[in-house]
Amino acid sequence: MNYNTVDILLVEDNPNDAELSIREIKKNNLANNLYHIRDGAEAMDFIFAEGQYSENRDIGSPPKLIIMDIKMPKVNGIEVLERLKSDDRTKSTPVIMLSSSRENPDIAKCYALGANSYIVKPLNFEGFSEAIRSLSFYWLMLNEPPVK
Amino acid sequence: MFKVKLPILVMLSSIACLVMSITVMLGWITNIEILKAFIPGFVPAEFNLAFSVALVSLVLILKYFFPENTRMQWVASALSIVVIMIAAITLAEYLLQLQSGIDELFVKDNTIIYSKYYPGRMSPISALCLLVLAAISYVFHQRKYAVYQFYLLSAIAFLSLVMLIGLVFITDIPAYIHMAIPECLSFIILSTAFWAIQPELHKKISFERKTFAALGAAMLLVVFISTLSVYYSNMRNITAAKIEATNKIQEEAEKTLSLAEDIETSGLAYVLTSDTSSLRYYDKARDKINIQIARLWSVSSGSDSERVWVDSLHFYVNKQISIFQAGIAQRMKANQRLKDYPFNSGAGIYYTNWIRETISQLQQREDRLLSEQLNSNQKNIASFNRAFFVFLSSVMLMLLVIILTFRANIIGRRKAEKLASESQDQVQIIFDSAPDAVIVFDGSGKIIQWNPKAVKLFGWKTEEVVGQSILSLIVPEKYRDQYLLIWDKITADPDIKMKGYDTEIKVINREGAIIDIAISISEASFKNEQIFIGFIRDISEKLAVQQQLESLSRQIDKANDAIVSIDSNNKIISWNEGAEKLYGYGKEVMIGQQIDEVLQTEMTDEGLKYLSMELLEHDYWAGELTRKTKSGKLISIHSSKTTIRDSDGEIQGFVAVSYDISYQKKLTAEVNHLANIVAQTTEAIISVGLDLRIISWNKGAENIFGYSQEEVIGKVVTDLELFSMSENEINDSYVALLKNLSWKAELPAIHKDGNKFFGVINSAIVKNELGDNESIVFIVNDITERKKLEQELKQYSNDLEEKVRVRTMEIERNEKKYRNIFENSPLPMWISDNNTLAFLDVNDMALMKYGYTREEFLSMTAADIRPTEERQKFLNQNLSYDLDIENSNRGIWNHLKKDGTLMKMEVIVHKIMFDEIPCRMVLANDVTDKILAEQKMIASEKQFRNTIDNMLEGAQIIGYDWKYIYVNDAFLKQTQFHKHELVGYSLIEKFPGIEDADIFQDYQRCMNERMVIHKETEFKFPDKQNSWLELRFQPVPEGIFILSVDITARKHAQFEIEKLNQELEQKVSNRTDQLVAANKEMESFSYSVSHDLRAPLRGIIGFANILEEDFGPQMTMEARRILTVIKDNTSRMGQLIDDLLMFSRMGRNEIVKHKINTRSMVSSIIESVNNMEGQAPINWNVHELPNIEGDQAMINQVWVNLISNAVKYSKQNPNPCIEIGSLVHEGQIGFFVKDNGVGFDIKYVDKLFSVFQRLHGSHEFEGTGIGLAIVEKIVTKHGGKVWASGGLNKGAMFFFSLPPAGNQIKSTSIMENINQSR
Repeated sequence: MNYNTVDILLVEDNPNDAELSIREIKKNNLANNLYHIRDGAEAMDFIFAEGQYSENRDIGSPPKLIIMDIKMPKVNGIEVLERLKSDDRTKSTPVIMLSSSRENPDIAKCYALGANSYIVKPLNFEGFSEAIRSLSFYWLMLNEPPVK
Repeated sequence: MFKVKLPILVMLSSIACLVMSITVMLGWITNIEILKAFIPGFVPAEFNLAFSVALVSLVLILKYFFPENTRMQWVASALSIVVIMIAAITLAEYLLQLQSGIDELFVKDNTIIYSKYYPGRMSPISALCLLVLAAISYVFHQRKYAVYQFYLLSAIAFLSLVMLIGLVFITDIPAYIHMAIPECLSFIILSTAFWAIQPELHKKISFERKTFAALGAAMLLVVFISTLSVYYSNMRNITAAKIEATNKIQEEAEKTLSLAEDIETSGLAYVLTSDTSSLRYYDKARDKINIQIARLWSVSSGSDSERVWVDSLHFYVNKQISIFQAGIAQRMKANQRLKDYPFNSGAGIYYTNWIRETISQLQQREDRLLSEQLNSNQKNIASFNRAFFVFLSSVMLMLLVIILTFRANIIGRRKAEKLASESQDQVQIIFDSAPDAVIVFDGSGKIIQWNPKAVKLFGWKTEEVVGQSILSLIVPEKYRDQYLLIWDKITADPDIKMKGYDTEIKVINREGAIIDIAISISEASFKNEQIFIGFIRDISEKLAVQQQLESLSRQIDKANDAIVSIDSNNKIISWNEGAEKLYGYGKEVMIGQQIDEVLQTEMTDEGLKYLSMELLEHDYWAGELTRKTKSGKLISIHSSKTTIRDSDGEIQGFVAVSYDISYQKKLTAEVNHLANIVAQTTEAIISVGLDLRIISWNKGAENIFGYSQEEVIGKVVTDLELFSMSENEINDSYVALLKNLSWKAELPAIHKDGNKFFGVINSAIVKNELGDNESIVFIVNDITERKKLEQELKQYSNDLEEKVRVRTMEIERNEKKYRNIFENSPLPMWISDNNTLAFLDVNDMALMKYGYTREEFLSMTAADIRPTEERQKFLNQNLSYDLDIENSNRGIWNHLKKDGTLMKMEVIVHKIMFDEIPCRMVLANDVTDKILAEQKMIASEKQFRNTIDNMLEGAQIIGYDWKYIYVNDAFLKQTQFHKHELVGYSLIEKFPGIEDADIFQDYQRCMNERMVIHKETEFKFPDKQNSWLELRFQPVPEGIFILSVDITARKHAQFEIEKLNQELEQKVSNRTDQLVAANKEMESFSYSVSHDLRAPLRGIIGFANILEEDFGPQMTMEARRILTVIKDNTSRMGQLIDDLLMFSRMGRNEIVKHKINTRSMVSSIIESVNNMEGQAPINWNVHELPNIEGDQAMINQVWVNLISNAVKYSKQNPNPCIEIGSLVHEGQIGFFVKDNGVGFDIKYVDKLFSVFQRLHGSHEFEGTGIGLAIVEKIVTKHGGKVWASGGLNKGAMFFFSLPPAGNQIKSTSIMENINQSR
């Protein structure tokens, strides 16, 4: 697969949540080039074309949208977000943060770090589906990406 | 300027040559033509040549920049050899027609150029130039080759220049001398540089040589031009001849053609017409044409090809003629019958056309040749013109250079001539004004020149001596032979030219007097002749001075005085006999010694230093010194020292002249001693000459008479009128003096200020050694004082007598007075004998006090009035008493009255003399009552003291001297001292170090500033035990009084409490930490609950959804229902988790208080719940709601929960009505939400606000049972209260109240809100 043409990068450790998310995204025909990464460390490598991605990834071709869970083993989503948004090469990539929690500090922190959206994963799946769909749609279809 | 740039220029030159050579070599290696020749089409420089030029450039660098480096010079020589080899072999090849293979040793020469005979070989000129350049590098800096170098280098440069010009402008230089552009340039540069780097050779090349070289070059150029012009004019002649020949051929060809045409036309005419006139023409032409062809033949003799043409022409002409001849013959036979003999004229015309064709071709060829010749001619002329112009310009340039050089030379010469004449003048002036006599003479001794000094010295005039023999003129006869020998020696010495010859000889002058001279002879050459110059100086005077000096030094040597000269280092240089006599040391011992070391002097170092300073400053010092002689005797010497300075003023040493003055000194000392006595004595000692003029006048005389020495010396003594004597008296006294040789008188004398006094005069005649009268000495004593004292003494004794009389009277009066006091004293008084203690006298008061009669009392002793038991003590004491007593003493004693009554008597005892007996006078005072009173007071004081002694507080009194005056038992207990250890000792010695303690300042403040101080302090005692004391400092008359309370126990208790408190605080803080940790734990717990508990739920719902979506249609109704149940339950579980989280968060979160607009908050909540589906429209009744202060989010939650509850539980009512309002409850602001829904059973009201407590099943009303618990928690956290009222199916009413924002705004804020809402 060509890692340089990824539209949506999904970073999610919970396989169930990931499957559900992918299903929803697919359902909306948005997942032509969706790439799923299971932890923050790998996400970091992917975004910055390091480690296993150093050979086949060009940092200049970021994914069009990153959907990322906050709570992940090893490196959590906030850490990834922080590095991503503080690097000039990557900070223009839109990022949607996912969380199970409505805990205030996380939301505030994510927005402070420059997250473009923040979704609390709703229990009822319709809500989640709706959220994913509208956000992906917005970021992929409506939003004009930054001119390179 | 040029010198500074020379290294740069040399470097640039060599680099330029190197670059060019390397370029050429690269061209050969890469086979690029343009690199070899620089300009396309020009001759390329050969590889060998370029290589050699490069080596020569390196030689240039090495020779110029490393002249001192032997190794570099070796390399340079080696390179030169290589170049020489290459050039020599090439030249040999040319000369011997060899092919050694050196030409293509490095590269193969593939270029085929028409002009080259040997591939790769350089031109002979280049080889020659190289050979010369390399060879010259061997004779660098050698002057003898300078001229050759100059010519050769100039030639190379010139040749190269010519070649370069030739290359550019002349195309047909003979090929074998062609040189390439780079090589021409390199040769020019290198030859110039070779010359430039040997500046020392430039001088060797005279102007003439330069001119010669330039002229040579110019001539060479002229020859070259001439050769060229000859060559070119020759060329032109050749072409001119050629043109002429061509023209002729053309001309003749033309004629031939016309003849051939004539033959044709006239022949044809005759045949056609048989007109014989035509035949005549024909014959003429036929005869002529052969001659014509012969001429053509002759003019075309130069070229074979032309002859071929002529031959063929001849052939055609003959053919033509023969045809026409035949035709004509036939015609003539046939005559009239032309038709019968048809004439085939075609063959004839055919040949005629051939002839025409041939001639035309011949002419064309000649035309071409002609134009070629013309072209080449023109080209030659142009080339020549150019070359001529260039060479002419060069010649002009050369000539210009020559002219300029001439000009410069002429100017230079003129300058030089001027300088020369100036310098000749200068020499003449020097010669004339030289301080020495100068004689110039030739090898045979003939005088050539003779300067004015010589004239002066010898008396001979210059014109008289010139040409004379010097020997016979100025050398005395007897010395002639001797001097001739010297002369021979001088002339034989080869070094004389360099060194000259100096000697001193005797010569004779014109008058015949012999003069000592010093002569310095030097040799010179003048106009190729050997001449000698003698500088002569008269040294007669010098010799005289020398002799004088010698005699002086002999005198010095023999002088009686010690004359010693010393150098600047204090070393003895000369030592005369006088010195030897004076000091005992011989000359041989002393020379070179340090004078002050051998001849020790008593002078101190400072003295010596001063001496040398004086000497340095004034160049002279004279004074007295002591020195130790050889025999060890100390002698006094008078020494005068003079510095010796050289002409620069530098001190060379000094001369000391000394003589012994020991005896003289002794005498002087004695005289001085006497003179001192005379001078210092108080008597006036005046010595007077026989003429009565004063000779000496001592200090005594100055004092007595008031005249100073200066005033009176030399004056006649009688004129001063020192004594009031008449003239007769003076004369008498003088006579008496002369007669008796002495005279004595007591006379009134007169002081200078006019005061008179009494003087005793003693006078005597002083005689000299011969016994003649010499002078008179007067010794005068002032006896006025004595006289005055005598009178005063008399006066005093009179006064004394009078005083004694008055005193006696006074004493008598006093005696009476004292007696009276004694008698009438109000206190008892008595006098007792010191030894016997018997009473000698007693006053009435005593008798009265003791009750004795006078007789009784006077019969008793002092011991008798004492109590019997004290009597012995009194007696004992009395004995020692006497020793102590000085004037008076006092004490309290027990005395007995006559009747035996004991009295306390204070007794004052005086020592007196009574009737010449040492007695004591006693004054007694009855103090019995006073003592009793005192005793009483002491008792009461004791009582106080006891109190203090036994107080629990420590008490101490410290005196001003810091000594303990009083301490009580409590204090002792506190301090753990014994009383005797403290009292009388000072605070400081008992508590060492207390001065440094802070508490001591309090002691001092109290002591000095007299202030009361209260203090708690800790003391360390010697046994290391600490005590806390409360101290109260109080100033008292004795010093300070300090009250101390031992508060150690109290303090300890206090410390204990403090410690406990601290422990408690520690515990609290620990507990707080634990609490914080627990909170943290709780927080992370709920965080993970919210994340991790929800994730599986989401999975369940999500996958159930997928199941439903993907497989819904295949499922039975029951299966779908069960799926929905699963989803519902999971949703509920999620809700439960959310609510629980919210509840716990409410408990944890801090309240952040803000002002809350209750009205708008409630309105927006109503807005949000109003639009719920399946809900009957609610009738809202909202009253005025006051603003409050509280956490915005939390209070909002309260309202949401209460209002949504009301909505939820009234949904079964078809006409739901909800009322919201406020009230005041127990001083707090209260709110209520009232509905008309299902209500609740009032007996479960307690459970309403508990977590998970529901009064309705979830099938009736959904919910988790946490909403009200949250409300309760929030309100409680705000410090408010919640409560509820209602009944089953009667609706419910929920209340909550919050504390007002602050006391000061409690009422007003409510009022304001009410006002606002109105």
